[in-house]
Amino acid sequence: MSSLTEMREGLHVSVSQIKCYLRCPRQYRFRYVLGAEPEFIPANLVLGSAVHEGLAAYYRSVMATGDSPEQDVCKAAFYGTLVGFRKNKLPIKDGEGIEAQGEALLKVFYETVYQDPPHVVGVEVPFTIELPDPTTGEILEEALVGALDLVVREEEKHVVGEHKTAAKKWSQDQIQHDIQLSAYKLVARKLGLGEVGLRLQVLTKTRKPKMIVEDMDRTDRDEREFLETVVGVLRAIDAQVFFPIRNGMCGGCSFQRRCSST
Amino acid sequence: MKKEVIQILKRPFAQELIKHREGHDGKQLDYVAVQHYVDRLNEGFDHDWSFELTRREIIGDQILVEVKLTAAGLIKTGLGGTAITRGEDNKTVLSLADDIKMAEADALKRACRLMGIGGELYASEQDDGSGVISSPPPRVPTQHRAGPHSLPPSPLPPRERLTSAQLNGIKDRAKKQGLDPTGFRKQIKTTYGIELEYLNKKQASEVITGLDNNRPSNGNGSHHASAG
Repeated sequence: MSSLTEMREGLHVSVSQIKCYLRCPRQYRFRYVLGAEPEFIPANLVLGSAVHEGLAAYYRSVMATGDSPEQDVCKAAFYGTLVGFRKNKLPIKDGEGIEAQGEALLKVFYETVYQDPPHVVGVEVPFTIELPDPTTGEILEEALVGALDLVVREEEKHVVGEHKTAAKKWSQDQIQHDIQLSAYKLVARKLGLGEVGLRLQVLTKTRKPKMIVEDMDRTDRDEREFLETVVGVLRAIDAQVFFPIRNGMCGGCSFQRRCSST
Repeated sequence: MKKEVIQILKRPFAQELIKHREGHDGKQLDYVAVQHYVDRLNEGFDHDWSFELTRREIIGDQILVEVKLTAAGLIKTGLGGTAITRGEDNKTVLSLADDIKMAEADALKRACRLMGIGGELYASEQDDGSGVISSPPPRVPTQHRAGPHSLPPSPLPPRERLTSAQLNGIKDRAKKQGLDPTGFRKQIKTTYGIELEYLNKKQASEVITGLDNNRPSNGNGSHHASAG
């Protein structure tokens, strides 16, 4: 199987790219079209990535041994990722306390899962799939590329898991409409995993961190809407529609100076 | 029809315009977006052609459309169709308008084929019409007439972004010429102001031509690709 890096060599689109465009088309332009250098790395990104690696390390170990490893396995992966970010020439904005926050999140995660490790069949499973335009049936030039955070086997079916760190618990609307999960349902079928279940594992960065696990499903309509969104975004990019969206997230945007001077 | 017009119509579509999708029987079908057929008609007949919708009806779960294409005194009829797309409950029709657009585009393309456009795409098609609706039209058709130059409803413009084949072609050429990938990307950015992946088709063609022209033929060639 090709690595994610190799898959990204071809013309592709990712769920992150689509989400970035939907958050702010101008930020998309800076990041992807112009390839502009960010002004800093947001602490949220660092924390999320490092915790993500901690969880992946746990599940890799479970996949290899069938049993939960010591919590240190998660911490080592977390700190390894963090060190990588700290070595980067870009500063981490508001990066104080990432270590403590990360450890707290990993602790909650570990305490939730270690007694009953799942039957893991895949961790960070890379994928590249063709996407059809839902209106014309035409295969898009861009392949959808990404990685499934986790694939576990439960009874007669596979369940695809997605890890998130969030400031607070996700609302039902967020859970219901998150395009990533619609994409994963589509991807899993194309990868031959059949009709999978979907599981969202959200670690909340609240004063008392929590791990919230939500099982859900997606319908054909959700999948079609995901495809419509992808096609709409790609066509908007073709047409160079890159308007700014100013809101409470601007402070965390790593292109804010460039944006202000545009 | 004038010889030069025939030449224009029969000119095969550029490879980069040809797309693929899966047919009913799992076979891969080649096709070209309807807008490129329209462009070719405009080029061949200097915009002096007309298109008439002569039949549109729904038979079971299929939409059947017949069109009449008139140009240079010739009339060609095309029959096209598509299945109605339904939701997961197998009842809800998701977008009949979109399905009708597809059927009309299919019919227009088939009329164009009889004018000589896109024949290469149909070369391997069986006489029984595999890949298209084979049901005969009903006896009492619902007639709908559109005016001259009436096109299938709102075909979207062709995509601007470079194709996957172009991107791969550029990367392959740069690699074969031993160009440093980072330096090459920087050069593209300097020339066009955007990342390689966001070039449009024309810009990508320029880059490919630049790389081809720069290819060392006798060992003395430059290894600095011209990006523009």
